[in-house]
Amino acid sequence: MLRAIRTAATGMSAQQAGVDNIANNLANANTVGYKQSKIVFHDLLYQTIQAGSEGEAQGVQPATMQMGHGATAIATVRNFTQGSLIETGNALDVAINGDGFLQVRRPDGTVAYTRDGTLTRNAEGMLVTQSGLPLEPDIAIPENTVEIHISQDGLVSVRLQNEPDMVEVGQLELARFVNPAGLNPIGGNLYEQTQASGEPTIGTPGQDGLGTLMQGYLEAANVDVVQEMVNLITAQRTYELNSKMVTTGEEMLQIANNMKR
Amino acid sequence: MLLRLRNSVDAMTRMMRQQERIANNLANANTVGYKQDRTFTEILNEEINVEGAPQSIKRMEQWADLSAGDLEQTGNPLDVAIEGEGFFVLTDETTGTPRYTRAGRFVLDAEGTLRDAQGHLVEGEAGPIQLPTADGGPVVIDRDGTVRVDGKEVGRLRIVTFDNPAALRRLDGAAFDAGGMEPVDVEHPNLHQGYLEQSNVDPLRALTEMIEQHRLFESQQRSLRTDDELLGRVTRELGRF
Repeated sequence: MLRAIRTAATGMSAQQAGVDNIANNLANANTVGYKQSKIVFHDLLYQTIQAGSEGEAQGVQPATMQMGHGATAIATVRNFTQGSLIETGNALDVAINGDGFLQVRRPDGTVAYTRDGTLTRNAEGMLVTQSGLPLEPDIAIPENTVEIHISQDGLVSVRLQNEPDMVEVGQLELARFVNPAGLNPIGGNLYEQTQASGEPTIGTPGQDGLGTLMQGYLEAANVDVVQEMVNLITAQRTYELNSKMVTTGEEMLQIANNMKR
Repeated sequence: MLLRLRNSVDAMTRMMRQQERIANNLANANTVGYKQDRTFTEILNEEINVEGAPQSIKRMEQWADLSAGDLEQTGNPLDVAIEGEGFFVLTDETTGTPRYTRAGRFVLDAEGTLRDAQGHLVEGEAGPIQLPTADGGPVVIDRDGTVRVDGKEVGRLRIVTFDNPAALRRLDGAAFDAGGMEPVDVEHPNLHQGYLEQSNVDPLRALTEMIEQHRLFESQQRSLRTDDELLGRVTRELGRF
């Protein structure tokens, strides 16, 4: 009987992890470039037990039974479907339309990946993300720039003050992964590569299956709020069902205890 | 008389087992690909014994309810659901044994090999499915299980069934062990990319079963107590002589 209570408790904690995950998705429903994560539940090991003793008494082979031990949340999987593109009109906002990530260099020199193209120009004139991480490869915007143009294939050109023509200052590159769902989110809209994601393939936007760049747009989170609310209801109800099982198990134990007055 | 007590105890033990089974179903009401666990009690023989007490030989039979769960759209290209019969074939590399599952939530490892979330290999008709790691386009999985990357065929998912699926044994991770049974390939599988098969646990049924077992347990306990009182009285009354 205690097993039923414990089993139900595993179900409750799994659903709790599910609710935590939904909460994070909902909290990021307005985060640029955020990708919705889904939780993976998993049933636990089964134990083979004997069903009853009457059979044995009469020399009949009792049927064996497999008893499960509940559920657990083993992983979260990110869904990298395209979020909708929102026009901002800002020349340094870049959205990726299709597959790929912008590469940024972290202070320790390693490369992280992001879909958040809210770029800005730092004091040294380099293109950086909102958290100040420089893009990889470096792109420098001259000081007296009056106009910036980023083409669909990532070519960055600027027009300097009192100059009639645009000059190229750099080329944005995108990285793509065999399995983006295997990337590890490290916060700040960044991901780092893992064993599961594989090595990145780096290329020019618009080529080799990479997406194109859209200047003046940002990619909204791909969180489907209605779907998340439905998931929340399901998780809450499953939690409730499992808590009922805990109560019932407890009551049955009490009944068993009352056998002897 | 003691046999009556014993019958009650057996019945109550069975109800506890049932409750444990229902608890597992409820805990997995949201587990992708989980198949609800069902039992029935079979009465093998019922007789009145020498003491005049009814005695029955019962045994609980368990089976996995393999009816289809709802297909939910996820949009993830490596999520695959099977419509109709069949199982995906996974290989546990540490033991080399096959595992069969309906939970088609797959991931890639660093080499681009298709695996499940626990790291088991997903079997194709010609061994594990290897996706190109570089310059690949979108992954497309056809209805018949053919996996294409950028229009190029890289393998075909193996979908099998069994002559007697009732003999499958449960493993963790919504998977089954076939014992010695030979799988039969499904000729024309019907797969849906970007969908997952949800748990087929019916919460309403589980809840009803739970209440039922609870109440049966209660009444069985009452009956046991009555028997106990009777036995006590008999002992007391007879003890006077």
